[in-house]
Formats: sequence, structure tokens, C-alpha cells
Amino acid sequence: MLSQPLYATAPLAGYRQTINGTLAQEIEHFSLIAISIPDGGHESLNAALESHWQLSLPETGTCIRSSDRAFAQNSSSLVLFGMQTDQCLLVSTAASAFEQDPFEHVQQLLGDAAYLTDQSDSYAALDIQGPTVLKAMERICTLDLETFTASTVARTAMEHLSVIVERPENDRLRLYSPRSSASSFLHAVTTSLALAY
Amino acid sequence: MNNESMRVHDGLLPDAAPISFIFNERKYTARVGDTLASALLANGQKLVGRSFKYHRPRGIFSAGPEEPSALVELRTGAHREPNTRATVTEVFAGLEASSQNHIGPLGFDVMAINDALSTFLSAGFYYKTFMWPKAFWEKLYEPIIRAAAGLGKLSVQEDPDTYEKGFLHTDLLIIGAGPAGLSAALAAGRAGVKVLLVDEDFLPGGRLNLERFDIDGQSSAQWASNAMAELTTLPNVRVLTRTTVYGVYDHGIYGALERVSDHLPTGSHDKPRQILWRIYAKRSLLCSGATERSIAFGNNDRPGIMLAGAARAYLNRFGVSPGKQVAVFTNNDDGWRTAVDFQAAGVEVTAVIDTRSIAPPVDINVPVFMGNRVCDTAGRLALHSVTLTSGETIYCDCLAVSGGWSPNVHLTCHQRARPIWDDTLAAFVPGTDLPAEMQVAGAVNGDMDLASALNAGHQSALSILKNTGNNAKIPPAPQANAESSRITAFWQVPDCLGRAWIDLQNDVTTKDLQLSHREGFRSVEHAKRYTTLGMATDQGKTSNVLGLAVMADIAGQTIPQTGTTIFRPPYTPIPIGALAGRSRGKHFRPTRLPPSHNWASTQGGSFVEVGAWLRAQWFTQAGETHWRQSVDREVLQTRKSVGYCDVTTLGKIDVQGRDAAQFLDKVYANTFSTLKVGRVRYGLMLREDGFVMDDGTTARLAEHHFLMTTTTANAVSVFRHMEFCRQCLWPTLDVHLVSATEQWAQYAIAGPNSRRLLEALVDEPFDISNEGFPFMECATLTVCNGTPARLFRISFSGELAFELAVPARYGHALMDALAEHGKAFDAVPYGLEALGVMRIEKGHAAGNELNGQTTAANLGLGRMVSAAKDCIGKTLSTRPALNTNDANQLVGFIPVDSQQSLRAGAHFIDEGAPLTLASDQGWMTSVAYSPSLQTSIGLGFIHHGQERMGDQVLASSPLHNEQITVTIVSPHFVDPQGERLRA
Repeated sequence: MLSQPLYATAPLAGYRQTINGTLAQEIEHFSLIAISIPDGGHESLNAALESHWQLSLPETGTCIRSSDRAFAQNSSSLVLFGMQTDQCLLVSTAASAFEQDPFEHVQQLLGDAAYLTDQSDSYAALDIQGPTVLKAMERICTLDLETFTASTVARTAMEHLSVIVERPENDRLRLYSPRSSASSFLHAVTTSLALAY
Repeated sequence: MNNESMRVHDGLLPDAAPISFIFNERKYTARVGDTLASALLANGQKLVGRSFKYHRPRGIFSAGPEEPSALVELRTGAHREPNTRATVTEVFAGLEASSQNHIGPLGFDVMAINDALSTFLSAGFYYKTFMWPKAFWEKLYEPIIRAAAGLGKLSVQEDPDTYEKGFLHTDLLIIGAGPAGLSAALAAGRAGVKVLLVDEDFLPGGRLNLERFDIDGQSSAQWASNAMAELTTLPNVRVLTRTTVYGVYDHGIYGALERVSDHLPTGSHDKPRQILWRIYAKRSLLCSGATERSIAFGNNDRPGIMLAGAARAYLNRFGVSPGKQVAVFTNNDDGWRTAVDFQAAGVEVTAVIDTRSIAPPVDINVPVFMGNRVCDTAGRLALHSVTLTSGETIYCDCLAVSGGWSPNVHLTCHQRARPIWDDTLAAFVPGTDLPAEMQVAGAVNGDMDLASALNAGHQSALSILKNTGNNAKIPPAPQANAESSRITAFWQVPDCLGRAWIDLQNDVTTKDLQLSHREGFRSVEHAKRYTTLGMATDQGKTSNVLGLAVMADIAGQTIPQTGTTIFRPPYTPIPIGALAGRSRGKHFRPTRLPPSHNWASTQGGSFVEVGAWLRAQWFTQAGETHWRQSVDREVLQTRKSVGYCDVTTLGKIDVQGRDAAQFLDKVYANTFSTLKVGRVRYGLMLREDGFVMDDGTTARLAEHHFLMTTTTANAVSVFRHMEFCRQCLWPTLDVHLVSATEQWAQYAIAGPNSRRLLEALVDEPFDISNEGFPFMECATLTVCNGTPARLFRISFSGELAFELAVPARYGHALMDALAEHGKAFDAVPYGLEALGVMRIEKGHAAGNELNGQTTAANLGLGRMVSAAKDCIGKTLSTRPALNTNDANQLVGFIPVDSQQSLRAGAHFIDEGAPLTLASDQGWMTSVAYSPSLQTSIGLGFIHHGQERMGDQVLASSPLHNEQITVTIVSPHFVDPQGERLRA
């Protein structure tokens, strides 16, 4: 019997709300791939990244943005997060524009140069943009987000949850939190936005 | 309504709106900008409470956070807050306050009998008095004492207010917006430094608002106002008012409490009540000022007796005179300014009494008594006169007392630094061992006059700029006159007839300190605890130094020899609610939801917390009135046909690398390097001490790629353990770990029809026949027309079973698909409870059996500890004590009487044996009602159980007064040969 295709469900059901002038919205379509660097494989992986996306391995705590027309639609949508000395995350928020499965695409391009783990379904991505972003995050984020630039990324804890933070624009933060606890995290963020004054 | 008869001028509130408030059910008027204390004084209300032990009438003693006496209850109902200092409480329209610690009216407290009995109520009296009979202490004495003790009463209701926490980062934290703090903030702020200026008052300026000084040709209050106006325009400066820095912690971290809406009527706003800030500061400048102290003399606690600086503050800031006839008692020049200010305001000053035998420092037209002292006071509910040692009686309803000023060194001591004594100031000043990157400036550092304080703040800022390479040009320090603050230390008036109070909050007198010394409690730390000197909400801010001086007198020592107690956080009281922040209700901790949660909610699912996860326990169908009906149905239908269950919560760890197999051989007791690609193996993980840590299946997806599963409970601890092994034990191995728990929605599909149900989902040409996909096989495939998936032929239920994983986004849809295609087989979703029943029926160990105290041998898995290789825990698992002949072994139990229900936790003993530890043979770990066997069944550990099949023992639960005769059986109640799962 031929079964109906499975439909996808977003962890935050496509949440979108403006609170105190700041827009909070779920990024429903993105791919996030953990790239583990084989022991002694920095150079070959760097070469592969350079060749395919004009990227290089980022230092821990930094991110590098690039473009790949086959992969994404605009230059800001492909980002490499340096998470630890032997691991980084390749993130694309334009995955829906890509015909092939992003994980398979990256796997084909990088081959044995890296160990890959698809993490696209592991996280919920929440974008918050507006004048109260930093004020709101003061309530749950221990990091000094004022010092963050478009080249900064960090994994931290907010309200007992592991969260990856990037600041693509001055008044915009993108927060990746575990999918299973995404509703708790959303509650924490929206409460902070509501109380930001 | 009273009419503010004691407001003699506008102070700093010339245009303030009038408002009304309630005190002890009586309506009063006040002005916006008043504190509750200033408003009460403006209305002539001097009596505001009763003392802690003797229930003496008490008034307002200070004008700041140091207040030991004017403690009140604020608000009503669930919002009621006891022991609040009236001196820092902002009045707002409709505020309701009441006095505390009295039975009957405030003016006629029945408990004032304690004062008459004071001879018997000395320090430590209950420990000496209520000793016999011993049994009475807990049942009689303690309840009565507890009922009588304490000050205000809690509402005993849930706190309806909201609290927040927050995190701030700054280059320079300036604590205190008085002369030094404002001067420093202006200098640093103008130079572009990222400054956080914190002040506990709602009107920044500190003493600049309390005095009649001039700075740069303008009044000090106006200068402070202008400075604040400039600072708020600087983008690099942030000001937090109504905020108290209460603690200094490691690495430049400071705790602060912001009172966001305490000054607003309840229900008039949507802000949190308070925010507890954690401040990360690269540098800090402490400008916390100084606190005035009293002098110990007879009956120095009556309402109307207050600190001289406080009297000046009420007059100059609020325009309120605390009395119609004011007398001043001082040992320093600063006290004289109180007389000068009151006289300038037209208030009668009846005397200035100075303990020093010197020429009067100020030419003032009032009666002056140099070298004299106040030795007693009179007035039942408020002061009406004082008596001097020379015999004169001075009529006054306000006595302003100044025993000198003590720098507020508390925050400099929170990391164990000790302050040092300064004879010139007669006070402790900060020592040299300050918290890292902290500087001090202003009165806290002994810069007691205004000019010095302003300059000290400025110079501190300059030094910070220099140290950080900031070369900005900034204007010079503000200029002011240096007023005199000469002092000759004088602590207590000797030979007074009445008791002389040192600590007003705890009713500690000089006699208590003498008693403490006589009874051997001579160390300051011992005396503090024996007498309660310096405890409670004020932490002795006005009494510590005076108490130390009196103790030094008694011991014949100097004050430095006597030493100080340790200052610890918090500097001022912090509500428990603020410490909790928003961590209550839904915010208490995060909830993790598996991908099928919403689906389960619509299918009658009842949920249970499993750690942070919320899992479906069972699915109630129409007509089912008891959970057992649902669970039994789910078990029977699964065993009869097919059931499906969300097992996403199991930990999943992606293990990749050239050395991944070698790594797994080291962390698992059994071997994984021999596992073929496409196969799954059960693994047992030991701790270093040889006990079982966790178990689970691991699939080999590729030559250098494994997917490990852990138990739900240990998912985090196993990952952490493996990261430790990878990074610290074997850093040269090429192995990488990524948690994949969240990535995959994984469902168990179990039962004789599970394959047929799966065939409807698995895309062709994948073959899931027993030949094509045998037991313990795994594969990457697609389902439902192209959805990527992973399939595992494993079984926890003991049935023919599979676990199907899809990316989490498809989890909800897959449950829909299983339900839809399962209709043909009467498939049922089953919950955690049925899962548990089936694993007990099958004899699979779970958390109850893997409790950290059991070994592989106990579990009957001893042979899994490979002899051919080393692994964590192998060596210690061979310890003789873990391998005795009578070691516990996991077996099954059934009751002889099938109508009886077994109980987990019951201990096994032989029939007739005493219920003692010596008779104990083991314990029942898991029990369930087996709908398959129609009896209660259990798993448990019992001495050499494998050799005792068929024996009967008692399962005893003394807690429940219950003993059940059980038969020892195989732990595999269902399909012991494993034929079903290999079908």
C-alpha cells in the first residue's frame, strides 16, 4: 500500500507575534548540520569548505557567513558557527529553496573530509527583532549581548535550557533552542519581551 | 485625616502632589516623594511600633536603610509584607501600613508587661529558664516562645507578586549616587566609559539632598539633580535607582535588588515587583557613604530620639520637623549642624549637649552644655524631656543624637577582608584587601567632608581612566567647602539608672553585653549570637560599632583588639520571592515534549512527568473508568495484534570517527568493534567502581558511525561521561559525539502484526521480512513516500517489534499514519505504563534495576563483561565482595495467592524469620499486574536466586504491615525462549 507523504510540523507551530514593538517569529525552514572535524583533518576540511562555499573553519565563538547559490538564495543565509575546537555547525535558513535534501547535499560535497550529523530537527529557531531585544534578553541571558557582532556566536544556558545565540543584525537575535523544550523557551522569551521596559 | 502639622517648609517637595495613605486604619496626608517615615512624622505620628522583646514604644530612628526601629507591615491580604523599614518605603496613594508586634492597640500593648519583667528576660534567658521538665520544651515552652517572638506576621498565602531576575554587564559599576558616586560617574561617563550607576534611594544624591551645602555655586540638591540629568543623556551610562547592591561575589559579580514597583499601587501597573540583578563588572567603585551611630545612655530608645543626621534629613529633604522642641546630643561637630539647620528653619532648639570639653564649634544662640551628657529620658509613648548628668532637665520632644559616623564598609568585606580602625574618625574604614578591581571613594573611605568626597570620586574615576588607557579630557572636579567633622570618641554614658540600648531592633542593652562577658561569651562572634546584637533586618548598621566599643570597654581592650564580626551578604534584606525570580509555575523548569505530544493529547492520553519529559502514561478510551482498564487493554491488544508507542525520549548519541569502535569497546563492558554494519547490539556500561551505569542498544550505521541509545533518565549523564572519556581519558582517539536525541522521533511498533503494519509505511523496495531484516538489524530507508527514516529490529516488549525513527518534524504525522494504517489490525497506541508492564513480563531491566547499586552479575549479565578486552569498570567489577556465592540475582516473583498484589520495595525473608537486616535476602524492584498472566508479577534481587527457582519466601513490607508469600520464578514471564521477537 502506498502511504500518504508525512507532513512536517514546526516545533513552535509557526509562532509570530509583536510584543512591545519587537517581533518574535519562528524560523520554520532551516537546516543545521553538525560538522565534526576528523583528527588531523583541519586542512582538508578547510580546503573543501573554501572550494564549495568560500568558507573556512571559524574560531570557537565566531561565525562566518558565505553564499552558495546552489544551497541558498542570499549571502546571509549560509553560516558556519564555531562551537568547539573540533566541531562547528553549518546553518542555512534558506533550505526550503534547495531542491535536494541539504544534509545529503553537504554529505556529497564534503565526503570523508568531515563527520556529519543532521541537527535540523534538533532545534527550534526563534528570531527576535526590534527595539527591546537586548533589554528583554537581559532577563534570561547571562551573556553580554551588546558586545555581539554579526561574527559572534555562543552556546549558553537560558532558563535551564541550552541555547545557541547569534546576532545577525544590531536589533536582531536568532536563538536556537532544543526542539522538545521549545514551548518552554518561547514562554521565557515572550515573558521577557512583555516585561522589557 | 491629619494635616501634616509638622511640615514646616516644602523641603525638596515644593510642587509635589498631595496624596493620602492609611496607617493603623487611620487616614493621613502626604506628598509624592515622601517616605512613610517622613509622612508619619509630618503628621506628628511618632509612635510607630513596639520593640522585639520588651515591647517598648518605638519611633523612627534613622532616615535610611539602617533603620532598626520603625518596622511596619505594608499592604494587606496576600500582598502583606512584614518588617518593612518605614524609612525607605515610598508613600503612594492608597498605601496601607500598620504597626506590628503588639497585642491590643499600639498605644496600649498588653505584651508591654515584658518590660516590667525585663530583669528576668536577659540575654539567653530561655535557655537557662525553660530547662525542666525536659519534655515541656518542645510541647509547651517552644510553641509559646515562638508565638510571642518575631515582629510582623506573614500573610501565609501564596505571594501574588511577580519577580524577575536579570544580568547586566558593565565596565565600571559605581555603587552609590552620593557626592563621590555622582562625581565619579560624571567623570567616567563624560570620558565614554560604560558606567552602571546604582543607588538605593528613589532620589539619587545621597546626603546632597539632606544638607544645605553649595557645589559650584548652586545648592547641593540642585547640583545632584543637574548631574543626574546629564548622566541620563549619556548613552554609555545606565542609572538604576531604587536598587541596592547587596553582595559582592567572585570574579567581579555583584548582586543587586531593584525595587521596580514597590512604590506603585497594587494593580496599577504590569511591571514585576522587584528584579534581582546579577551584575558582571570589570571594575567597581564603592561610594556607599557612612551611617551615623548613637550613644548609649539611659532610656535612649523612646520615640522622638533619633540620629542627628536623620533629623536633618527629614527637615531639609522633606520639610518635616520631627519635633517642636529639638535638643541635640553629640560628640562631634557634625551634630551641631542639626541645631543650626533647625534653628534656621524656625524650629525651637532647646539645647545642644556636647560630650567634649572644648569651645563650642559653632556660634549659635541656644543653650549649650559642653562636657555634659544625657543620662536619662522621660515620656511614656514619646519623649518629653531629657536629664543631663549635671542634673538639668531639658524639655524636648525630639532628641537628635550623634555618636559619629561609621563608613559603610560592608561590601568591601564580603570576600573576608577586614576593615581597619581609624582613631581620627573613631570608625572602621576599608582595609587594603579589597575585592578584585574594587576601589572606594567618599565617606566610605573616610572622606567625611563634602569637598573631599567630591574630589575623591573624581580622582578615582581619573585613576580608572588612566589604568584603562582612556585619555579623554574631562572637566575638573566639582568644588565645595570642606565642613568640619571633628570627633572625640564617646560611646556610653556611665552610671545611668535606666537601661541603655545599643541595638534597638533586638532590644540589646549594655547590660546584655556585660552579662555576655561575665558568662564567657567574649569573642565578638560569640557575643553577637548570645545577645543577638547586630542580627535581623538592619544587621546592626547603627549598633555594631557602638556594641564593639562597649564590649571593648568591658574587656579593657581597644576596639581593634576586640575586632569585628564578618560582614556577609545580603547588605539589606532580600525577599525570598526575588531570589526565586520567575522560577515558579510554568517557569519553574522547562518541560520537554516528545513529537507526538499534541497527537497524544487528542487521543485521550494521560501524561506523567519523567524527568523534564511529559510522556503519555496511557490512552483512555470511552467506557474506561480506571487506568488499569486502559493499560490492560493496551498490553493485551499489543500482544494480540499490534501497538505503537513514542520512545523518542531515549537518549541518542551519534558516535563517529576512525576510532569510534575502539572507543565504544572502552566505554561498554561488551565488545562493539566486532559488530557488523547494519546490526544492533545491546550494550552494558559500567562505572569505574564496577557497578552498572546504564544500558541501551547501539547500531552500527557505517564503518565509523554508530548510534548509541541510553535510558531516558541517564541521557545527559552518559553523554557527559562519554565526553569526559573522549576529551580527558583518550584524547588521541579520533572520535566525535553529537547528541541526536532531539533529532529523531522514534516509535516502537510491537506485536505479531507489527511487520504487517510497517509494510504499509516502508517504501519499496525495502524488505522487512524476517529473512530480509532479521532481529537486531538496522537500516536507513524511506517511509511514506520518501521521508528519510531509520529502522531498528529491536524489542523491549518481547514481541516481534521494530523501532522506526523519522526526523522529529514528521513525528506527529507518523503517529497519524500509524493510527490510520493500524485500523486494519485494531492497532492501539500504548503509553509508558503498558511499556513498563510488558518489559516486566519480559524480564527486561530498567531504572529500578539499574539503580547504581547493582552489578552485571546481579542482573544475570556477568558474561557480558568481556574477558578479551579492557573497559571502564572491569577491574573493580571483579572485587570479591561483588562476586560472592550468595550474591543477589535478578529473578521473577509471583504471589502464591494470585489475588494478592505485590509491592515494589518489599524485602524478602524466609517464613518465620524475624524482620531484621540479618534476615534480609533482597528486595522487590518492579511490580505490575500482568494482564497476560492475570496475576501480579514482580522482578527483584534475591540471594543466589537463579538456584532457587520454585522456592517460596515472604515479600515483607513492614511499612505497610504486609507479608505476601511469593514463589521465585524466571524473570522471563512471557516468551522465555524469545521466539516471538525473532518471528
